[in-house]
Amino acid sequence: MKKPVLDTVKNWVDERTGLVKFFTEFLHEEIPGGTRFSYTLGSACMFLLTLQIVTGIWQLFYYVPTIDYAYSSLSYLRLQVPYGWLIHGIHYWGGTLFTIIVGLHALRVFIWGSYKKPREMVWLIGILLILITALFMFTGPVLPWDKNGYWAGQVGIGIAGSVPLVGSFTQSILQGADKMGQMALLRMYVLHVAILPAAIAAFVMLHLIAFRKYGESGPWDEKKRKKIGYFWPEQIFKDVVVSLLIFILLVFLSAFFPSPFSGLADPMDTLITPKPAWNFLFLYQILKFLPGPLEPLGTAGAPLVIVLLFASLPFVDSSPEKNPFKRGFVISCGLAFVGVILYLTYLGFIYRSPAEVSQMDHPNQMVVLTNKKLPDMDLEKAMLAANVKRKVTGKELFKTLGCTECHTITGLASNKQGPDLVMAKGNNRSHQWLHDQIVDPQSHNPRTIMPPFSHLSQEKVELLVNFIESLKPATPVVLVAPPVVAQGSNDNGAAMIKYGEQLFNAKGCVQCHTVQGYPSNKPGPDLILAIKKDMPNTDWLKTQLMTPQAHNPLSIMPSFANRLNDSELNAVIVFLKSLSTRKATPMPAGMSASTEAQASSGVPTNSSAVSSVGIIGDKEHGAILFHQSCIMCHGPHGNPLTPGFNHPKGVPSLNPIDRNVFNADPQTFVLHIDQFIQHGIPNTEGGPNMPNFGDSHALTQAQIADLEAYVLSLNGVDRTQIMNPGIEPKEFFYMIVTIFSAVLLIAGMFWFLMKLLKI
Amino acid sequence: MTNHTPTPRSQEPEDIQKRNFIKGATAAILGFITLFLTIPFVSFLIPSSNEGKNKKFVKVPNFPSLTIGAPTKMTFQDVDVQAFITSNIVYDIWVIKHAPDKATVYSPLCPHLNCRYTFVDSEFKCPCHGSVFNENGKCIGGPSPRPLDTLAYKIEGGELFVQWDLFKAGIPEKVEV
Repeated sequence: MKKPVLDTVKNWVDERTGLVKFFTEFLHEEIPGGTRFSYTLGSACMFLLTLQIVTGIWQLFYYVPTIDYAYSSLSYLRLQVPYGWLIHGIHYWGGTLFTIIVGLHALRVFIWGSYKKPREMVWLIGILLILITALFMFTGPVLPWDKNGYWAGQVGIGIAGSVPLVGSFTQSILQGADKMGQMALLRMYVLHVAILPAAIAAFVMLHLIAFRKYGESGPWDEKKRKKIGYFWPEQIFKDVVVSLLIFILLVFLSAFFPSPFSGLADPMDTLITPKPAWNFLFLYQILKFLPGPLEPLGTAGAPLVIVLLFASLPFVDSSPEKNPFKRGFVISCGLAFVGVILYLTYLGFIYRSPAEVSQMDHPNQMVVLTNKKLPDMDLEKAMLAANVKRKVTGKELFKTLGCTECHTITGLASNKQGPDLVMAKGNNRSHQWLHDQIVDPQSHNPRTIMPPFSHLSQEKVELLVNFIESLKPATPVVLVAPPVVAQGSNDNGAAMIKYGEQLFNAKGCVQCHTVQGYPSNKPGPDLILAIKKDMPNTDWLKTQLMTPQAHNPLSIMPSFANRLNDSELNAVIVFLKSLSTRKATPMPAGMSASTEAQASSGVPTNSSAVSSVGIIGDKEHGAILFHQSCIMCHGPHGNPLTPGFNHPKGVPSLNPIDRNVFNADPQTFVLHIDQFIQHGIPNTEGGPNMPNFGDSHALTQAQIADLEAYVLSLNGVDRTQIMNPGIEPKEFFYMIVTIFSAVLLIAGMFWFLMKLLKI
Repeated sequence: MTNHTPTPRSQEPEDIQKRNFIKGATAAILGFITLFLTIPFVSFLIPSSNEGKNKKFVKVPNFPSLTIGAPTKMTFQDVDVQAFITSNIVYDIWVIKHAPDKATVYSPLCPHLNCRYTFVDSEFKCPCHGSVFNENGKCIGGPSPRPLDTLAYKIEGGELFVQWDLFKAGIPEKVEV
């Protein structure tokens, strides 16, 4: 029996709108040659587009498009909001899958020859849709304002900007300011959530209307076309099956391969290789082959040629023949094109900038550090593949191995823990001495705080030594002759003090001590402060200079017995004693009183507003930073007990970390370690102090967040742990698969029973 | 849409049965996808419970210098953390100091529909719908279903500390939001 009420409503609506007739005709479309799974690609695109729109809108409930909050709002959405991981994951992977399926859809249409007369317009609108998709994939990754997105946007806008004639105009429109920042983020946002969705909706509609005019082109074989299939329910059923598989795939990818937290965007970062989103890698790679004046050929020429080739296809290949086996030339050109694009994308994918490669110095060590395989283990090979054949210089090694953390090469006394290497030229070290100092510093001074760089290859040590030897003293060290003093007299006059000060500077004392009247980061005390406080006598000073360990067995101060003769020793002591009456030099404006308070109280001040605790860092990035800035004191993996590592005194282990600092909740854990990295802490046992990386801006907040994520990972805490998942991602996936399998099983048994009983 | 007349479909019972099965399967799959999207999409919008998180006493400045017996509007500032944004919020309250260690603290919101009331002629009057309360908080006129809402407080060392709270408007019982 029919349902009369439903029919009445149907008729009432149809009389006034024609909608029922419209949908009836829409659903009863005939498909020549019958329904096929290969025809589901278009519907798969529609399904994905719908998912993108809904998950996109849903993310707007939390996302804030400002450079201050974009990253933290998205992190909150992904880690703290129930199913945020799923909704973000579907959107992230949906975009990637959409691009791939749109490509396959176009490829199928190309191979089947379905773009031919009378369906040229469907093809042309399709090309427009691919371009809109490309814009979506260009603007979307910028929105999280993380490292990857920031650089993808930077490179993308740069490419757009280098197009001849219209480039600078396009760039200023996209960027909205003189550099990448808040305006650029807002413009990417408006494009991504307002303009492009409207455009894609309109053109999808036109695509469908134009398609329905002549419908499915069907098989090229006339005989096969005789069989007629129907859109509803046969083809729709196949479409829905494919959609279901896509849905399950998206849940799988979201649960098992969440998009990385690449850390907050950081323009100061040099570790990352700026790359566009993966869809544009082929273009990025083409640009590398076209240097200098040829570049416009790549930025404007390549995309233009590709679009024109696509657009002219139905008019160039205008014969009615659809059988791909009879269109050998066109088909092989097309497949070659696809192959080239895929190959260029692959090259772009594996490319690492020389800077990034040299940062990683020793690939195997990096692998150990991160406890995880890096994307490309064999960096040397990657460099070759990307045609990067260059030599690393000693200077680059010096900068990237962490030497600059303790040494300067300015020729001026600094507040770093090691000597300035230009000043140290005054010591006239031999080639072999420098070599030994790098590989095994303890061979010269068993109490040195310098870490051994024994993992470096012979070649690299040689490069470093050559670099250090090539340094030129900024001002030649001229030792004045000692003032003429009558034998036996105990002249403490101004001339002797001046001579003593010159020796103090020339003999390396300034490498560890300051004479300024306020504390410094150097390992030794400031001598105005120390001498005023303790008022040591001549004998004490003499012993301290000749055998420092006599006063403090843990002292790291070297003996000067072999460096100063008796008269020089005398002059230095006279100079030192004169410091008891010397006035302190004014403290530089940048140094706050807190530095002083901190140094005396031993407790990091917590006044600073800056903090990285709200930023989800990237632990792999953090591992590289750790390798550069922390490993020399904290040891590989933050474990000071690593065999072969010379553990400086008083430096705490980070792996495992103090149980009072540890917390299983990543947010609390980060809060605990953040203050040490931001403000530093003095070493109470005579070893090196923990520098104030945050206060001194030696590291950006984004970098500190990365380091924190790495330190957490060393202690088994995942910074990207989902705090409020709804249902745990993996469990959610298993649940879906299980329930669906169960439903399928029951339906199958039911079907089988029906057949058996012949109902 | 298509120009030629539609080819009539096979009406064999077996074909109809097959078509109906396919229709059912299609609906089932779509229902399955919809169900497993609806649960996350709805949960996504339900705010996480804040219970117990903001239960803290915050100091209200200037209490020691307050005149005894006079209802006074006072303000205090607190840090409010909502999702990923931390901000400073200023709260207002009505305080009647009875003694240096005794006071009454009213929420500034009328229990009727949460308008902010004022103190005129020894009475609390709400400008929105004319509810009137005496100094004891009792409703003596207008539509308010219950007396003024008091807030929890404590006085330590002569200083006032108040715990901010919100209550459901328009019902006779005082229920936390």
